[in-house]
Amino acid sequence: MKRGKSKTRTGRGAQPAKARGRGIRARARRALRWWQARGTETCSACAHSYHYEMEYRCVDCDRGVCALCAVREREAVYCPECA
Amino acid sequence: MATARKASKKGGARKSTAPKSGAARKATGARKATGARKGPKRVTRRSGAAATRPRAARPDPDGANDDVRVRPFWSGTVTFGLVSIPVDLYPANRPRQAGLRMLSEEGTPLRREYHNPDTGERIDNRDVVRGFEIEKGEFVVLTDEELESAEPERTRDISLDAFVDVDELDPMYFDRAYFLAPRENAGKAYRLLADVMENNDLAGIARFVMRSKEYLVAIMADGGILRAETMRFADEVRTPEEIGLPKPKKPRPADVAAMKKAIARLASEELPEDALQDEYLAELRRIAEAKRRRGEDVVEVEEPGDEEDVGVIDLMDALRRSMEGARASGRGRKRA
Amino acid sequence: MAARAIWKAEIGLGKTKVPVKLYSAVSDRTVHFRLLDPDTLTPVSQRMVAPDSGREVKNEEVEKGFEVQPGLLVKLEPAELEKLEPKPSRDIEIIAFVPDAEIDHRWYDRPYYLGPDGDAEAYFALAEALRKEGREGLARWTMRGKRYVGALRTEGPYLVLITLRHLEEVVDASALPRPQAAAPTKAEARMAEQLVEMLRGPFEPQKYRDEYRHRVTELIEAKRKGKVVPIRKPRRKKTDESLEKLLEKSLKARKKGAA
Repeated sequence: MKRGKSKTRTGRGAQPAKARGRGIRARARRALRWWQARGTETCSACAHSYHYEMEYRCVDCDRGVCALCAVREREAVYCPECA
Repeated sequence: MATARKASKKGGARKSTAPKSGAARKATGARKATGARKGPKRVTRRSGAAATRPRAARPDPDGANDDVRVRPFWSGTVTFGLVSIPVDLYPANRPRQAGLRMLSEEGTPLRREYHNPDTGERIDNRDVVRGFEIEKGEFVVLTDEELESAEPERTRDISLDAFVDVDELDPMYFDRAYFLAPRENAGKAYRLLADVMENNDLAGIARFVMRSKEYLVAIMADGGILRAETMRFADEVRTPEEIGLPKPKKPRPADVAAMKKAIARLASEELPEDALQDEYLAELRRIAEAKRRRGEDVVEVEEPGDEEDVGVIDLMDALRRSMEGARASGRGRKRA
Repeated sequence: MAARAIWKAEIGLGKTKVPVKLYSAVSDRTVHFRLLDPDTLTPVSQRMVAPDSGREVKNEEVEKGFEVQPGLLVKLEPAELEKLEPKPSRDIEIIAFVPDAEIDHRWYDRPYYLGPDGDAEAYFALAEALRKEGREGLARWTMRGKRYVGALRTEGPYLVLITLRHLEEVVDASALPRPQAAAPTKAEARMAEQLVEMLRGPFEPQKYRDEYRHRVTELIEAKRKGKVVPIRKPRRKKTDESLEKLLEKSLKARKKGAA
């Protein structure tokens, strides 16, 4: 069983660009992850696409919204219209 | 929650050619032989030159857009006892047609960009990380490797641990569907499983993790092809009590009789043909086509090589080739 | 904890009307992640840019276009799009009542519970009648500017509405060729049937719990406390044994387990 360690990152620490391989070549080597790419669902608020697993549903109108449009209030998630 | 709800059955437009095994075929009586399966008759009628270029929309007299663009999907292994069946997963649902593209004034398709809301600085797609909000404004970053480590076996294996009558599955639980295509030399084991399930009208219940989410699935055989229908977990389906629905009242027989009459007036043995048409999309297309004929507001676009659409494949093409045993193109098997 | 109704409407079956309230039947338990700036861990914002100039295009300036064929778009004005919007209505129109088995499960999308809105007698009478007749209604309605089509069914004594997919949204398996494979031997078929029979039982959704969700929550807690998380990779199980041998072993293992 392969073992590796992962860094714990909380809070607002800054990290030097080089450590993350922000250079063009480093970035190109990293494949686009599924959650970075365009998905199959369409946000009812901003019309952008996202993946189903990242969907939020408004508790008031049940429409699907993307993570960027979802309004989190009082333990529930709303679309921008219903918020 | 009703568990023994009689689920709807499809009619067998395709007769299974697998030899019926010795096990007695359950006489369910609910299986309709012909015509009952209401489904995408139009969608399958399309033949002709297969679109080899991804994104190519075939001209479609019926108005249903056949252009399916999906990312290479997930791969895993269906385990059944000690038998392993390596499979590829493909979506069996096409995304609901968005219909409209976002354009600039000049008519060029717009691209989405991320940026930091405080500084306004652009953030490249590939640098974005995923995190969970532990307190307001405080996040814990989680990498894909860490998330996989939460349950490493399930992210590769689809373990079949129970079989139930297809009839017993309640449609309230169903969510999305995926086709399973056999990989490597899994053909025989795949076929074996499909045959057994189809002969006995059974669905296999399994679990697996894909895209940082665990799925409960019912695997069903349809003409020799396995399809996995994801289901909601019990705690994801609300009960009438949770919602606060009033306690049921026994209705008056006269009222029930009146309702039965109302039902009888609208009764039909078959689903109306155009019941499942996307009318909005059809109207949109009509208006757009009319404008195009008048030469109004028509814009030619060169599809920009969009980063986000990396590795897009044509679904039907990939499915066909998978089933035929050839390797699908664009295979950089991205762990979805 | 009573849920708030999403919508209020009236089911119309000819002259008979049954007023109802719509509730979502789905409870979202997913662990949701945010997309963050890697340096500051701030949630990212998005904007639309024109690819050639790199200039941002604000929402109000965005034009919409319909792709009539690849490479050819037709711009549609907001006024034209507005005309397409369906008229607001509070009617759930029933087009037909078909037998229960008519709609294949592939078409079901999102479930909603219906509760009575005033006339409880009519509501429970309709539910009872539908159940006894073994039928479900094909329904059409417009909610928040979008048209929906769905199935009106019963769940115990209650009514539910499950939205249905459009024709184009379902890929039909019959359009695909069967996977190429050698036919299984009689022995293999027999053993597979036996194995399946041993694993057969009633469908009990309560038996299954989303374990992964809990593991992820634990993982988040661990990281939050600053613990180091070991990366585990799944072991690749390689086996050279024949299908028949594997089936045999599986049966033995099950029999032993059951004993």
